[in-house]
Order: sequence, then C-alpha cells, then structure tokens
Amino acid sequence: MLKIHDLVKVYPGPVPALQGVSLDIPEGIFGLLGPNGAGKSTLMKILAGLLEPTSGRVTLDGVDVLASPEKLWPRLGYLPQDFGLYPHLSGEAMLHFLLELKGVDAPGGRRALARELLARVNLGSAARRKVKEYSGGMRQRVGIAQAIAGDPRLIVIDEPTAGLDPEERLRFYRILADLAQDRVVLLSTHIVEDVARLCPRFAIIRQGRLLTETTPARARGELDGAVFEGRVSPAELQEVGRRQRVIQSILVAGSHRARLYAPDGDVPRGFEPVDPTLEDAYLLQMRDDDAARAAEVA
Amino acid sequence: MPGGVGRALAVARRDLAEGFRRPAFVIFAVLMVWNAFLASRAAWLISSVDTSVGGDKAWVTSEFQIAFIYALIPFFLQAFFIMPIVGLPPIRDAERRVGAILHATPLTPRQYVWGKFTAGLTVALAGVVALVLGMVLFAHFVPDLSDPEIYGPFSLGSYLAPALVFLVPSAVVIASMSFALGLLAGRPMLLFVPPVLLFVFLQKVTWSWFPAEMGETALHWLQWLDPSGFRWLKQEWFLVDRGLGFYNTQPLGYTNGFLWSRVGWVVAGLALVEGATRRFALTLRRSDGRRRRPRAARAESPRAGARVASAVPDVRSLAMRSSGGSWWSTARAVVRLELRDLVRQPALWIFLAFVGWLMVIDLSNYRGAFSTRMLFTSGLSAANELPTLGILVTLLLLFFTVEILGREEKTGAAPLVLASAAPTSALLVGKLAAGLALALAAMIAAFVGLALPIVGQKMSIPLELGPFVRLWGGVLTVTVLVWISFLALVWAWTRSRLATMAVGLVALFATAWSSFLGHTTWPFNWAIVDALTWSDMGGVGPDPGMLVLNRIEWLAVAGLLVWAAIRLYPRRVVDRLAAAGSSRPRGWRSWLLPVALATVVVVTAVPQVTAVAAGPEGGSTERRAGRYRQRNLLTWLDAPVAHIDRIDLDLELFPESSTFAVDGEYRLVNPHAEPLSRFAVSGGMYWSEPVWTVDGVERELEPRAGLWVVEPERPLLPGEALALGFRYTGRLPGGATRNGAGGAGILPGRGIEEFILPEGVVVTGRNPELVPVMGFLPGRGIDPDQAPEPRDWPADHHLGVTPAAGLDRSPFTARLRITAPEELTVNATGVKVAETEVEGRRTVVWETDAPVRAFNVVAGRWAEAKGDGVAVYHHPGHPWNVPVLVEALEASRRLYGEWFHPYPWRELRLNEFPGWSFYARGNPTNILFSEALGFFSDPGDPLGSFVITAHEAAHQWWGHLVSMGEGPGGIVLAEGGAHFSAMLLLQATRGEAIRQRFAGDIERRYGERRQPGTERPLTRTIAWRPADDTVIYDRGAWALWMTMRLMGREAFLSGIQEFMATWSQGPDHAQIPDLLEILRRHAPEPRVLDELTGQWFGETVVPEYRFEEAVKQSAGEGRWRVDLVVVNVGTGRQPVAVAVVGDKTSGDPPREARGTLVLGAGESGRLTLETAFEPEVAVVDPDVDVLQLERRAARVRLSG
Repeated sequence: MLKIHDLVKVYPGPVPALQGVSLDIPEGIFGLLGPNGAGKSTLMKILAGLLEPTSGRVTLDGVDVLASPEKLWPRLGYLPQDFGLYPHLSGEAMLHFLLELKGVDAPGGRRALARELLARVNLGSAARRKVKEYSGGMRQRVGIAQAIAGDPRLIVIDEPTAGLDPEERLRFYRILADLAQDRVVLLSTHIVEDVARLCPRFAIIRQGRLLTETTPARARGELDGAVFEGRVSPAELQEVGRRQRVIQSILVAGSHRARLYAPDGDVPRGFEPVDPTLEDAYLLQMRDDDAARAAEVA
Repeated sequence: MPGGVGRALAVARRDLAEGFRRPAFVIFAVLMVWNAFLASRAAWLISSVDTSVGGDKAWVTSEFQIAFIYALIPFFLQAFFIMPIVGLPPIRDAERRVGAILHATPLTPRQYVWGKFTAGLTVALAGVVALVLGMVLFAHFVPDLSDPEIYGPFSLGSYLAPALVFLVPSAVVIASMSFALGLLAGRPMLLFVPPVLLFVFLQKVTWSWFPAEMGETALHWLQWLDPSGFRWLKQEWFLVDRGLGFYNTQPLGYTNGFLWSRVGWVVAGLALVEGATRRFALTLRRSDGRRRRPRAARAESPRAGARVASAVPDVRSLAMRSSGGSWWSTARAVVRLELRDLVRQPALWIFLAFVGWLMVIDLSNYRGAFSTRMLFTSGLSAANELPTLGILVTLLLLFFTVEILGREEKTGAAPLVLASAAPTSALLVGKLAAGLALALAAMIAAFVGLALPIVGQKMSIPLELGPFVRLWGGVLTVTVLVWISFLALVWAWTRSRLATMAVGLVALFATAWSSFLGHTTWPFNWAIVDALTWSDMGGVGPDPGMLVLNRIEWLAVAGLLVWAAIRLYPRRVVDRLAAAGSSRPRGWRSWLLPVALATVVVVTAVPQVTAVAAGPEGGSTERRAGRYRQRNLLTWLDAPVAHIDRIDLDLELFPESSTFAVDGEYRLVNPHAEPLSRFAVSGGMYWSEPVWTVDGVERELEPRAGLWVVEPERPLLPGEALALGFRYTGRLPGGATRNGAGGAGILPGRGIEEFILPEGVVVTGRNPELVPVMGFLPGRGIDPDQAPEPRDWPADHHLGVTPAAGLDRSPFTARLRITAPEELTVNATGVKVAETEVEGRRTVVWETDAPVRAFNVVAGRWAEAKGDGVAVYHHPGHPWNVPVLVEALEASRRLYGEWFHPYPWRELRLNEFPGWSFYARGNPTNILFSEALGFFSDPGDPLGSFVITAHEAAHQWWGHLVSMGEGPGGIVLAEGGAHFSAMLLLQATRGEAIRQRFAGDIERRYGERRQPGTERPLTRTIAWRPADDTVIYDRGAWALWMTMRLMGREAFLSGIQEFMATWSQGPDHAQIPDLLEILRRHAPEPRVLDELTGQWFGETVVPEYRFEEAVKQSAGEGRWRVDLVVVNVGTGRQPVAVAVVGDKTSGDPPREARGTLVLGAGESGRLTLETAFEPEVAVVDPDVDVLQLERRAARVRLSG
C-alpha cells in the first residue's frame, strides 16, 4: 500500500505545484489523470525519490520513503516522462548498465536478461544498435524495459505511452496488467483512454489539487443518461453552448459533432443519448473545476 | 538589411545576450582585469629586466612590457576560457536539440554558423578589451603610488599596437579552432583537449626550444607558427638583453614577416570557420535524409511488427531477482561505462599520443650545462617529467571529470540512474575511478614515450619500472585523487559544469602561484610535483618521511572531499522551503569515516608543520637566527677573530638518524698586530649544549643565541695561539625542508646543500651546523624581504691587506678522524692515514699533507676508479662518465700544474653524492659532485662532464691555492678563472674546435642572461643579482681569454704563475687589480693591455657586429674580390678578425682569407679581401676570440 498524506510542493517563486495531495493506493494499477502542468510529474518525481517535497508524508508498506529514499529505490521501477539514454551505448548495453545499477539479475545472467527484456518490449532486433539511432518510441521502450526490470514493489510510470504506436501501447498494457497483480503501479497520464483500459481506480489532479478519486465505472455511471451527442453547425454550436453544458465538440466536414451533458434530458433537437465515457467524466470534472475557480475569483 | 545578414545577426544577438551572462565570460573578464592589475603592479615582468633587487625600474607601461603581457599571460587564459565561450554554444544547441526547428526555417547553415561565431568571438574579444582597458586604468589612473618609478608616460600606441598584433590574432585563432571543434565534434571533451596540449606544447617546445644548430629559416618559421607570437618577441628582442633604457623608451619594431604571420593566423582561423560551415551543412543534409532513416526504419520492420502481434510479453517468466544495487557492481558498471565512452573518443588517443610524443621530445631535447647532451636513467626521467605529466593530467582531468560528473544531466539519463538502487557513493566513486583510469592511461603513455629514448641511449641504460611506479604511481596518483575529489565536491556543490571548471582553473592558478612565490610548504602541497628531486643513489629525497606523511595526509583529504561530495551529490533535489529537520537525522556512525579521515589529516599534517618550522627554512629556525643576529650584530660584525691554524676533529656519523657527534680542537692564532682579548665563534642551530675547553681546561663560554664568546685568561698576543676544544652532538639537516629540495629550498634551484643521510653524507668545515666557525655570521638571521643591499666598496678596496672572502680566512692543517657505518666509504680532505673497523663501524683518519683553507667529509656507497694521482668515487650504477672524469682530473692536475703552479697536495679525488642537490664544489683534494652534474652527461659529448670537472679541478688553484680577497671582483678570479682554465684545458686536450664551441656556449649564455641595465664591471661585481652569475663565470672567463690572446700565451701564463706564487700565502688576498698588475709586467705592450683590460674588466662593454655590406665579385682567372662593410652596433673597441670562407668540402689548403678591423661603438669599417677561391661566407671573428652579442648575426652568405 502506498500512502500519500498531505503532500505539498512549492517551487521557488513561489510556485505551488502540489497543494496537499493525499491518496491511499492499494496494489494494482492506479491512474493519475490530469492536464499538462497539473503537478503529476512533480508528484511522480517525489514518489521516485528525486525531488524533496516541501511537506507531507509518503509511505510504502509503512516505510517512510521521503525520509529514506534509499530504502525505496531498490523496490522502485520508475519511468519518467522525459528522460535520455547514453547515446554511445547500444540498447542492450544501456539496459545492462541500468540492470547493474538496480542490482537486477536472472538465472541466465544479466546480459541475457537485458536481451530478454528488450525482446519483451519488441526491441530484440535493435538491441545491438546505438541508442542515438533509436526513434522516440524505441527509446521509450528501453525506458519501459528498465522500469519493469526486477521485482519492484512500486512502479511509477509517467506518461508511458507517449511515442508508442497502438501495437506497442497494447503490448505495454498487457505487461503492466500482468505486473500489477501483486504490486503498486502508479500510472500518470493525460490520456484518458489509458486509464479507462488499465486502471481499476484513478484520481484526477489539477493545479496541484486532487479533484476526485474514483473508479472508471463509477465515473461513467454518474453520467448515465446525461450525455447526448449530435451534429450542429458552427453558428448553432455557439447558441447551444450558451444554453447547455458542452462536454466536447469536434469539427467534422463543416459541422460540429458535439457531446452535451444534460442531466435533465433537455437537449436540442437532433441530439441523442449516448453511453458516457471516462473522457466525458474527466472533461466535465475539468469544466466544473473551472467554474468553481471562476466563482471563487468572483 | 538583407534577410540573410539579418538572420545571421539575429542568431548573433541571441548568443551575445546569453554569452555575456555566462559565468565563463564573467570569470574570464574578471581574470583579465585581475591580470591587468597584477601587470600594473609589476607582478609580470620580462625576466631579462627584473629589477626587483634595486637599480633602475622597468616600466610596466613600455610597449615591450605590454607586448610581453599580451603575448604570454592572457594566452593561457584565452586558451582555457575562449574555448568554452566560443566552442560550447554550438554544442549546447545540439544538446538542446534546437537544430530541427532552427534549420527548418530560412536560416541557412552559413548564416547560423557565422552568426554564432561572431557572437562567440565578440564575447571573447570583450574579455581582451577588458585586459587592455584594465591595464590603462591601473597603470595611468590608479597607479601604485608607493612605486611611481615603474610607470612611464601614457602612449596609446603602446597599448593598441601590441593588442592588434598579439591579442586579437590569438583570440581569433583560438575562437575559430574552438568553434569549429564544437560545431563538428559536438563533444566538450574534444573541445578541452587543445588548450591543454597547446599550453604544454608552447611552454615545453615553442617558447623554450632555441637550438644553436638550427638555421635562420627554420627559426623564422617557428616564430611565425607560434599562435601567441611570444617566440618571435623572445627571440628577436629578449634573448639578447637590450637594457632597461631601451625597453622602457623604445617602440617595439615589428618585422614584416611576423606581421604577415599574424595576418595569416587570422585568415587561417576564419578559413577554418568557413570550412566548418561547409562540413556542417553537409552533415545537416546527411542527418536529414541519407544515413539515419533507413537504419531507424529497420526497427519498425513488418517482421518485428509481426512478432508483436503474436508475442506474449511474459515478464514473470524471466524470474528476475533484485538484490538492490551492490556497491562494487555499481562502481564497476560506472567505470566500465565511462571508459567505454572514453576509448571511443579520438580526443583521448590524440592526448595520449601527444603525451608520449612530448616525453620523447622533452627528454631528447634536454641539455645539461654548456648545452651538453644528457643521459637519463629511469628514475631521473620519471622525476624530470613528473611536473609536465602532472600539469597535463590535472588540466585534462579538470575537463574530463566535469564531463563525466555531469553526464547524466547532459544526456537526460539522470532520472533513470538516480532513481535506481545504486548506492550514491558507488556512482560517484565509479566516476572518479574512471578519471583515475584516464590518469593512469596518461602515465602509461608517458612511460612508453620515455622508454623509447631511455632504451635508445648508446650507453645501454636499463629501463626500470620501479621509479615510475614510486614517483608516478605513488606520488602522482594521490595528486590525481585529490584533484578529482576536489572537482567532484565543487561540482556536487555548484551543479554547474562551467562553474566547476572555473573554480578548478582558479585552484590550479593559485597552486602554481603559491609554488612560484615559495609559499607552499610540505603539509599544504597537494600537488607535490614541484617538491621532488630524485637520486639514483637514494630515491626521492632528502625528506622521504615528509613525502610519505604528505601523501597519507592528502589521501585522507581526498577521502574527506569524496565524503563531502557524496553528501552533496545532487541525487535528490533539495527543497529549500522544507521544514528544517525534514531529512532523516544521520546517526553517529555516519560520522565515523569523516572523523577518522580528519584525524589522519591532523595526525599527518602536524608533524609536517612541526618539522618544517624546525627546519632550516622554518619559522622557528628563522626566529632563532633572528635572535642570533639581533644579539650579536653590533658587537661582533667587525670584531677581530682568531684564525684557525690546526684542526683536530673526531666526527661520529649516524646517518640513519641524521645525527653526529663532534669532539674536536682548534689551534687558534691571533693574526692581528694587536692583542686579542676576546673573540667569537658561531655554532649550529641543531646542536646539543656544547662543552668547551680552552687550552685543555673546561670553560663556560658566554652563550649569545648561537654565538659563544671566547675570552682567554689573558689577551692573546700577536702570533700567540690557544687551543679551543668543543664537544657536542647535532643533527644535519635539522627538521625538514620547507617544500622539498626541488622547491624554493635552502639553495634556491640547487636543493639542500649538506646532509647526513643513509644514502650519503656531505658536510664541510664551512658549515657552522657541523663545526664552530670563527666570528659572526653576517648572513644568518637576515629576513629575506628586508635583506640589505650588498656593501658598496670603494674603488681602491684592493689596496692594503685584503682579507680572504667568506670563511676561508687562513690556511690550516687538519687531522680528521671520522667514524661511520661500515657500509659507507668515507673520504675527507687530505690523505687517508688509517682505517679500522669495530662492531660494524668504520673509523678512517685523514690528514692534510699541505695546508688547506677548507675541509669536507663525504661518504657514500661507491665504486672506485683510480687514475694517475686522481680517483673518482661513484655510484656503481653510474659508470658511464667515469673514464672521462678520470681523464679530466688527470689532465687538470697535470696541465694546470704546468701552466699555473705545481699542485701542492698528493691526491685529487672526485666524489659523487645524491642528486638532491644540484651543485659541484672543488674543495681542496676532495671535490664534490652531485650525480645530477657530470655523471649524467653524454660521455660522447666533447664538453659534458669533462668541462665541469675541468672547472671544479681548476678551483684547486683558483680559489684554494690562491684564496680570493673579500669585496667585488674576487669571485670573478675564482669562478671566471676556473671557467677560463676549463677553456684552456679543452683546447689542449680536445682541440680548438671544441674550445670554440665551449666559448660560443658561454658567450650565448652571457648574451641571454645578462641584464645591461644593472650589469657592473668585473672589478665591481659580486654575486648578488641573478644576472651576476653569467657576468662572473662567462664574461670573467672571456676577459681572461682575450687578455691571454692579446698578451700571447707564454707571457700570460708566466704572469699567472707569478700571480699564483705571490698570492698563495696571505695574509693579503688577491683581487682583479692585483692580477692585472702582475700581468701588465709580463705584457709585451702594457698600454695596449691596459686599453683592453680597462674595457673588459673595468667596463661593461660588449661588441655586436653586423655586416652592412658583403658583396663578392669575380676578378677573373679564378680570383675573387670581396667588399665588406662591418659595423659594431654594440659597444667597446676591440681588434677583430673578419674572414671570408670558401667551400670547406673541396679545398686544401684551407680556403679562407681574412683581415682585421678595429671598430668602436657605432663605428663601421670597410674591408676588401681578394681570394684565389670563390668565397661563400663572410664571418666576423672566425676563431671565436672576441666576446660579442648575437654572433649568429655576424655571419653572412655572400651575394654575387
């Protein structure tokens, strides 16, 4: 169990990045959703022991990892959002080096393990090539391979699917789902679909504050019967927007395909009820937060 | 503004704004201004115009002085700072990956490159401008009011012209090179190698290598190929000192060739940038399309994709286990990673090849005294090259260490590495170990480089690994550890590559500065490379204990630095707003290591501090010496002393503890015409309380802080004697040297003079640390900073009875009974009369067979080589020069005896002692030779050890048989006379050509080292200023030689014989006028002799001849007519031969014709010579008979 209690991080400025985040995260995959700049990566860095928080407490299975990050690191698999690799090394040598640092080994030896791990992320054929020749997705896969190496109790993954093609994303989901059975996996992302597919529980964070913590089913269930979709012209959309809560709209072939949130069912003609998605729930949460802030300012 | 130029300027503006804010520029500018300040306070002076000890002052505002500063001092700063200032911006762009965006705009590669280069160059030139403005400001607006004589009038040209000629081209060249490297190589590591190589190459080769045999054309090319311009400045204007008046007031004349070379450097630099532009454009195109894409595409091949669909990413089946990062495997992995990167860098291999090459060049080019070739043993080579290697390694490690410490941040791998289980200490230590590995690689390269010339020597000198392991492995390795640990700490603290480099450079500068000023002492000498001297006879000395303590101390300091760096290592970004105490408090166990290390530092440093303080240069000793002077100066400075007539001495030597015991007696005589009621004796600073006897009766003498007053029961009548007995124990050397014998030691540049050590013993009767000396010691207790100028003697000081110079006041006989460990052979002044061995100790009795004025005792583990009345005692491992030494001793004894005076003693020995000191001394019958002098000369070189031996042997006559009188000029008779004797002996035994080579060597030395502004005539010279040395030895020898040439050899030698016979008895002692007076009586034309000796002994004139015209014309029938016009641009008036010479390879008899000119200062003379052969060359003074400046220029190839 990963317990985060009242975590605050203020960067010099002062710029508040986390404003009292508290979470109890059990074994399994836990999603952390939020827009860019929400504080997700700050939270991830703190959990990875790379950034000291201003205040707060984090324990993993009862161990205070803020006071003793060196006790966390042997039990941690960490994939940062933005990272680099030593360009002069091959993918295999790079991973082998990281396995040595992590102290991860396997019965067949570390070198063979590096090869196997790269094969698991579909880099087997490129293992001997210099990292500097890798594409962004290939680098990301090296990062994934090192994050899942060993037997980490906590896996912290920050925007893991950036740069991955759909097939690789799928492959990654499978690995993650398999690993999450007996450990804590914290997945930070702004891609709602990742959370919808993988996470039995998730939280939404924005501007350093926790907006909600729930399950995808519950989030969707709360919108049951209240989401409608229809096509309107750009001019009509403005009119609709004044009277209804537009969740999202996409301009397709000259007209907008818009989704509305209308708990009372009062929608313009042409709009039909549809199954709510997690994205609807997330976007509504954002809109609600915007409104609440606007009210606070007023 | 055209769009292209506008875009380039936009790039330049962007970089300019950033460049001026960067710490590298700020530090560069501050250092430039600081140098301007130092220059304005005369901290940097042309060495040839050093006026620190009086005389006229050199102006810091003269054009020569400013050019010197511009060419030399800022060049290093430019090299080390312009490299990052100009070279890093393109690398940063590559690291920031802005290229993809920048080069997708209309900005062309050329606009990008020239925009960035212009910005970098502008920032670099701003630093240069800071230096120029700083010098003007500090010299003319805020000068040092306490020293107004160092400032001349303001002349804008004096600042601007040298700036344009020296500073700007240097800046452009360095900027171009750095920019091109940064743009194309893209790796900071490669960027920092050139300044290091340049720094050492310029110092070791370009600025110091002026071989006499090199032709004019080659010399000019070397001048032009020096990017700093300093070689030209030095060779054209400083090698031959023009005098203070000239440098202060004259404008610096630039030669056309040199000016064009400066333009050439600028053009070459800009061409390099343009070349880099084209290459860069090519790289951009390649990286966009041709090379990378196909390879990257392979990974995304359908086959790989097909595997994706079917593969089940079963991670659990890998059965991974995690043990957490183990310390050793982490450290090993980090070392491997860094080395893997390192070995792929061309910069490393360039560097290692350069190190090896430099060692070969350095060793091969090394010349001993009189430009003789040298032999090198492994130990000597390792010690000699230690400073060079140390500088190379520390400079390279500065950049390399910073590079590897910041690698994770640079590559972006930091979050992966730092969030791993790897122990922080292992990460850091692994990186430092990689740095150490680089240093070891440099040592191996240097070893290979040295091995080649060592093994290639003709004398089959074995290559031994031991000295390299001891000196480089044991000493330099600790220096490297301290250095990289320090850098790690600075980096961990600042987390900035540039800041770390800047701090590192400042630390190196401070270290060098402290060493230069002589402030460094053993416990504070982390670098140590300046403190070591080597002896094949005893290894590192003479303070091996200090060295061991120092290395342990600094190893512990390195440990402390690493510990602190680990504590500060930026693994987790600290929150400065976090509540105090949020971090886990550290237990007492975590302090065990630093406390233990700090304890080691204290425990090893304190004995060093104590030993240095108690040593001969230490504060405690200085205070005691000061008390000695304070208490006794006024009472005893000019008080009459008794003279030693007989010495009877029992001396017990205990080399293992550097101690001795003395039980002796002097028979003292009153030499004065008046009764002597009391007199003083001075004793050692490291004696036990002495027991004194007078005429056999124990007496309590009045102690006066190291001086004792002997007061006979009744005054000693003239000629009356008493016996003064003494008994005590002592230590020699006492305490430790300040910073090793290689530093500013007891004898600056020469090392520790006398010692009793297991490896050898050297003591003399002149040393009050061994035996009492008569009277007050005027040199003891003088504060070096408050040292008075020497006594100004009247011109007629030689009239009347002149006492002997120094302590050799009277001739005496001696019986020396010396006991030492049996493994040591003990030699002393006189003849051995008895030798016994009891219980592992050998007692030898030496007696003088004729009176001497000084005695010495020297012991060692030697082999013996005997000749006719001579013997050489040498280290068995140094046999190479022994035959030459024996030959030189035999020839000296025989021929000097024939020429000057019969040798009065039975034996003449030469003894080798460990090379911790660098001197030879011709004590009567028992000459001392440092192994570093003579024993390592190439025996194939006709000068080498022969001429050094001839000089020292000549002191048996010039110095001992005739002891020189007190006052100026006396030392010229001793040292100039010995040098002249060596010249004469060379001619007699090795031929006229070798004599000419020796004469040419000392003439060149005189031209290079004399300081005309402060030079005094030989009759007025004493050994005081550094430049007096060459006047005494070299001009002195030449003056005697020219006197002999004028008088004729027979007349001159008969005069010398009369001089020796007349002046060997005392009590009046000889001076130059005394010699000239006798010579005059033997001269065929005394007036002509007066004119010559008046100039050479009584003035400081030196001719300098040039051909103004040298034309040959065919006179028909195989005859030639040569018209020559020769001018004396120097001073003095001297008959001189002028010759034209034909092709020497095809003529017999010698194809030469000559005439004579007599030219005063500024006078020119015409000479027409007719020859029966085609002359090729005209030369002034073909026989090397007239001392002159710039002899090279007094030779010209004849034109038709």
